[in-house]
Amino acid sequence: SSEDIIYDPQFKPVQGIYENRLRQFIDTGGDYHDLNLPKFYDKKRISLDHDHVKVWWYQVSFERGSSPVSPDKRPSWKSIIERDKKGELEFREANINQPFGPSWSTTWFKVKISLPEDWVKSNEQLLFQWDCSNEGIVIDPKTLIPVTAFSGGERTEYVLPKTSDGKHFFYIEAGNNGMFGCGAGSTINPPDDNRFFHLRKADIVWPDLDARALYIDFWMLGDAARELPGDSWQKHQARQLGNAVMNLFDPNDRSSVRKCRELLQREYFDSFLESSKVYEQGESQVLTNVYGIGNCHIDTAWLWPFAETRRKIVRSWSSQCTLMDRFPEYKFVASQAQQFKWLLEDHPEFFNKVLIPKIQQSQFFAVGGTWVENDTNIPSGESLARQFFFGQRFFLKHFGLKSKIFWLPDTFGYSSQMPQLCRLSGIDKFLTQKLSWNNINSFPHSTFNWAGIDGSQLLTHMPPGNTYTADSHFGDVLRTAKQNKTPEYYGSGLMLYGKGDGGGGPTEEMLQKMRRIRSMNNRNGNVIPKLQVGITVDEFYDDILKRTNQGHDLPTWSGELYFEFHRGTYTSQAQTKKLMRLSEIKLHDLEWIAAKTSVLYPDSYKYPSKQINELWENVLLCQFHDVLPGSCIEMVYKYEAVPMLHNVVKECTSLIDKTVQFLQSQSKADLVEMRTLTWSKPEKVSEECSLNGSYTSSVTGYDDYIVLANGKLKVIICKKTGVITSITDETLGVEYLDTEHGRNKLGANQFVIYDDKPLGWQAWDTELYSVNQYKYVTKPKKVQVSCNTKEKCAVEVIFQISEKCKIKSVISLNATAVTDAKLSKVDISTTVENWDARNKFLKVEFPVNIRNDFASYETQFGITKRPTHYNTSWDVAKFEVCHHKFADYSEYSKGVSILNDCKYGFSTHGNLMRLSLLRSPKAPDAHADMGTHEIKYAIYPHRGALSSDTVKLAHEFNYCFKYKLPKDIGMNFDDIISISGDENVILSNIKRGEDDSAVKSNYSLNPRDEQSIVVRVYESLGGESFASLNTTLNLKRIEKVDNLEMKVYKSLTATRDESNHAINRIPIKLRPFEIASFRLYF
Amino acid sequence: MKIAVETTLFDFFVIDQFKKSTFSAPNTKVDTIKGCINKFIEQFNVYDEQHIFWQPPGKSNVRLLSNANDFGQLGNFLHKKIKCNIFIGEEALRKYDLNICGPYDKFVENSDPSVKKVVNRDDVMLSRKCLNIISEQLSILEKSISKAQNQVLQSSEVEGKKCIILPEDKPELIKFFSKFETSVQLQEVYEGYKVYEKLLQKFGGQKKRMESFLNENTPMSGAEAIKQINISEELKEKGERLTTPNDPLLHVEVSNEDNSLHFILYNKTNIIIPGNCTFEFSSQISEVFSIKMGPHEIGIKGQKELWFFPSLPTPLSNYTMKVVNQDGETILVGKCADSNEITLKSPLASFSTGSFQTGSFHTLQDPTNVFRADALSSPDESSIMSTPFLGETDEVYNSGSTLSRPFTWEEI
Repeated sequence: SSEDIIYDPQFKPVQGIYENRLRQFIDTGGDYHDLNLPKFYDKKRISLDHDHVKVWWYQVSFERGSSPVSPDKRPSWKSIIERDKKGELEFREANINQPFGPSWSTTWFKVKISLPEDWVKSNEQLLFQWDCSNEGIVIDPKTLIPVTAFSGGERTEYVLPKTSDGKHFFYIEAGNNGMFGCGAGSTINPPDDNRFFHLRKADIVWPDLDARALYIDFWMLGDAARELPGDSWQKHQARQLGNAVMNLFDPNDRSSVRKCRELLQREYFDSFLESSKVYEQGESQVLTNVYGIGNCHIDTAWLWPFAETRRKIVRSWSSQCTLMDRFPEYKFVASQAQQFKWLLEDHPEFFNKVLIPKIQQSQFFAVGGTWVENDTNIPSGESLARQFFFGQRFFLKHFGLKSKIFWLPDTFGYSSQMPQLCRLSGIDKFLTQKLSWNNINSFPHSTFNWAGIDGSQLLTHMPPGNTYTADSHFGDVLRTAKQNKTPEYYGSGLMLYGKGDGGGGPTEEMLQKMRRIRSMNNRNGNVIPKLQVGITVDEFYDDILKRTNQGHDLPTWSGELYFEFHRGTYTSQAQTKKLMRLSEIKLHDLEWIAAKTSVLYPDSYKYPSKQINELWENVLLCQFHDVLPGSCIEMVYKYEAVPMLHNVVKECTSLIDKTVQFLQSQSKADLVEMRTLTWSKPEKVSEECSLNGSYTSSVTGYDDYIVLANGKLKVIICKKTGVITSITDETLGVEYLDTEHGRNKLGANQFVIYDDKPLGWQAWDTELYSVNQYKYVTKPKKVQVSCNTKEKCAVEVIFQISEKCKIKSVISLNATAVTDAKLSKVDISTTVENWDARNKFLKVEFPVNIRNDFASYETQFGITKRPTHYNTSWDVAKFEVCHHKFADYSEYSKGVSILNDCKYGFSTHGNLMRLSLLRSPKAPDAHADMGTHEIKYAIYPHRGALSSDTVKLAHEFNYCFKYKLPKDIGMNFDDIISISGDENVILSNIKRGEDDSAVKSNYSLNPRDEQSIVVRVYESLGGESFASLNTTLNLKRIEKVDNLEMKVYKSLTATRDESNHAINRIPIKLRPFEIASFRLYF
Repeated sequence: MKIAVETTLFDFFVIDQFKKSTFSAPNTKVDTIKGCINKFIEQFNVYDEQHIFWQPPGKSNVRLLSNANDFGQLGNFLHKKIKCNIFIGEEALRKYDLNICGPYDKFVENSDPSVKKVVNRDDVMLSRKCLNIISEQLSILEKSISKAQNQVLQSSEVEGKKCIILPEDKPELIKFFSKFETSVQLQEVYEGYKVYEKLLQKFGGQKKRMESFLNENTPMSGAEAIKQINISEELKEKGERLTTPNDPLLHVEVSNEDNSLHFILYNKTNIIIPGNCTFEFSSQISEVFSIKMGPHEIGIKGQKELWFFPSLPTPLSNYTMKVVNQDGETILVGKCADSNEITLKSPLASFSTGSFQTGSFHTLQDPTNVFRADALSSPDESSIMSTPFLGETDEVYNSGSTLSRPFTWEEI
């Protein structure tokens, strides 16, 4: 019949077109924004009109050329508000598009709002929208408590509290910098110091919350349509539904917004899409793929100085605390004790009245356990121990809890001793994601056990989404679920959401998006990942343990977590690194001398605990993972880190000098020179060393070469090239250099300038291709004998590098003791004057007559071995590695160690050892490493394989300060604590017990009326060892304690040797690479 | 109060922050109910307070979410008229033949015409598909409820003990209850009444003996009330239990971690612990330690973790713990023994004989009034972004984004 005839054919929708169409609906730009949803985002809006919205501004004085980080540039809130109340400040009326600046200055705004009557009566949520494209914070003038922050762009809204009269008054403190500083062109370029920030918005808004909610609904639906797999019905339904919504939407009828929402909620979401209860719905048996944790990574300095970070902290965290009041499921983590300390100093009201309650209510969590999110490559072992010591003690003191998780998402590689140091500090879990940045090999695990060189393990998770700044997009959740590399063992992953690096943290939008994503999962099943928000990081790790047989089922990664990227950071900012090494040594010496003095003179000498702790805080601060590695802007080094470290050295020296003076006043005995290493013996103070029983040094000149000799070594220096062509063992005739079989056929102490133009990230990276793009520095300007005495002979070599830049290198050989079985070392002191290169990398090479598959590099409290070949891509990736005081390349019968006093980059391949000296990146610091540098290093050839000789020699090369003490006191110093037994056991540090009440430490948690010293010992080469701690102290008890000096592992007993100065001997046993701390009570 | 009607009455209950009232409708036609509600509002809503309308007691308790789309015409009407939350049960819908119509009917009507079947009920036209959608959503809600109920049943063998009936022949009880005027106070009543009942049992049912005992402690301050609890605890320790194992309570687990005290509060009461309370603990000799509990409530069967630092120099035994609401009223109290698990109950603070002599009778005397433990906890609406659905265009946009909500009677 005719009823069966239909003249209405249908076409099959073209998926790509229908999918692309979805973007139109919420696109705020483009041709159709006023015909789509954005039209309805606001019900009403009033821009700065000087009637309903009034804004005044006051510019804090900023003299160009002066230090941008001095305190007057960032006056306290209290001072500004009080001065304004007194009428002392000239606030002027502000206008839209008015510029404020320049970069790094501070502008204060006063805002007065009078809401229209109908707005107030509506009783609806009303907003103040502010966009000055710089960073700002809203401050309540009565309480001085901040409410929320602005960052320009993604964070512009302040939800106005309800008032009966619609009146509002508040201040905004604005820092004239963006979230990522003031980079010119690119964020990681050097800053533009003349940038101004324009006031784009100062509006009051009556938002249409339904339209805004539909925006979130539709955004997530659209993402599902775009990102779900093609074989899922959920993807197709999302696309079709999105199109249906667009068909239903009427730009002339606001009520159509609701119809659209109703359609979406009926077809694709569950009923709880806007509630925290959404996370309680769904099938509980179904695996949760993704756990969301809010965080806000604040680099303690990077493209902005420390001074600005202090403001970023309160901006970021106040916004988060406000968000916590609105989202019960929201949990947020923050790390770095230093940042909490700054907050306490700058904003005690906020700290005590807002932050502490949020911690108490389990919404804000202090994690990490370290003082800052530190670099782990370069700091000394003791520094890393103190990162945890001060970090955990600060957390315990102020928050009652130490962190169980080492939180370090953004650091450039992880030392092989970190697992042990964490374990010693009460931490057994670790989080990072940085290895996802590897540019050669993909790290194979998401969840695994990381074993350090001593065998200590950390349960480790690397968020599969490969970021700590997820925006909680649908794609972020999907990636976290799909990119898990260990699904066989643990198929869930953490998603760390929240704006970061420059601070910020999660936004309301992120929390809303996550609710929608979970709602979609509740309704449509697990093609959409099941996302859970509301658990803590601790609970997440507990879940791993629960589901992996307490972690036993997880794969293990042994040794360092080498970061295959940012290898230039071992060398960039040479001055800071040199000062860091010096600061660490000076602090070691200060604690050594002060602890011993306080033991000997408890009544008349006060251990300078507070000063020592302050100095440590500054050193630890400068170990932040952009400062010490060298990836900050110039301002950080020029005005903050370098002066800070200079001050540490100066203060340490001053405190040591005072202590030495005190000791000298206690005895009239002759003075002896003391070094701070346990194996060093007091030396007579004399103008000239006695050469009795020593081989003297000599120098002999020939036409083409100069020979230095000292009875143990013979060193030949070529006059033509200025390099060392031969180093031989004078006794055995063994040659240690090899100029025949490798690519360096010239000799040792050969300077090489590499081209250094990485793909990006100049200060961070040096690239693989640079290894083969180099020029040897030859043709010395001068080669001459500079010293020729019995004690020392030396040859000076000078190279002209550029018009201004020259390298002066002094190669010397000292007289040596006949009785000393070990060989001598060749000392080299190199001065690079006016280094002015652009994107060049200066290294010095040593072609050695050694063959082995692995070289050893000193790391914190031990050594790390790396390949000397390029067998696999994993081996290739380690073309530049980090080391500390020495690198050693040994075969069975002999070896060569290269010692240094301030360098960290190294490589050993084939027969070539290379010490990295200086780089010259131009971003983010345009003047990085320019200027003059003095570098000391030494070649130590040795018979047999790597031994404690190298370890001790490297210590002596660095801990070279001598202190003049009365002889009797010097002897007593030695007796207070010493170590004997296996030579590979090193007594590295001595300090007073932090909880001794007499010490009055500001980090004491449980002061007790006891006297103690804490001694740190480690096994340096990787073998079980036995030793004895020896002391003449009248011992009450001895405890083996953790790094925090809190947990007692076991009590030890001493045997008293009355025949020998009444020495107490405490036998100790250490496993390979063990770090052990002993607390001796007297 | 009652509105005069001609024939059979259909009762509805109204509760606001001051009182509970009943009104009756002559039939269940939507327009009639609207008329009744209008009259009620005109006559009694002088303070512009928020109201909750809910079904008669004893019916299954289904909440129609105000911020989702399962919200019928009646709800829309109520919501537009006054700011309130709507609670109405499926049973009520059926019993009173009360039909609801989804706000998206127009859309539905445009859908497949072949499945369109119109059901004619009174004066409300409703498509079959619309009804199906509503039913589906109701069943989701019912599923949640029965899940919750099952959990209750699993945890408690004697469900009946969670209910208390106030008989009309006990005027002293009615007087006692009539003293309370705020919903928060009403929350305490339930606990208070149980203690009263137990005390009465202790005194062998002899009210005079009990009153005499109470008079000795009148007027009873907060501290004395705590003392009273302590006595109760002592009796408990002696094996003379004042409460049954099924008494609703706030269960607190305490542990030490590093330098902190860690409290996990499990809400096993029948009420939602409101937001902005303070958790306090103190010994008789030492200062009061307190933790602000934050703005978020603890839902029924919900939990909250609190930390206090630094930890106390002495163990927590013999400390009194309290939950104090933002008005300064103690709503839960308990005492630590040696165990690290503590139960907090409603205090006796208001339980003085003075209260028997004032106040006036009101609807709490309803003998059918049952305190129910199986209500759904409500979503925390503090972060709900959009306005509640009104179902039709509202030109005035007069709905607030959040609704401050007193407890439903079922939740109490």
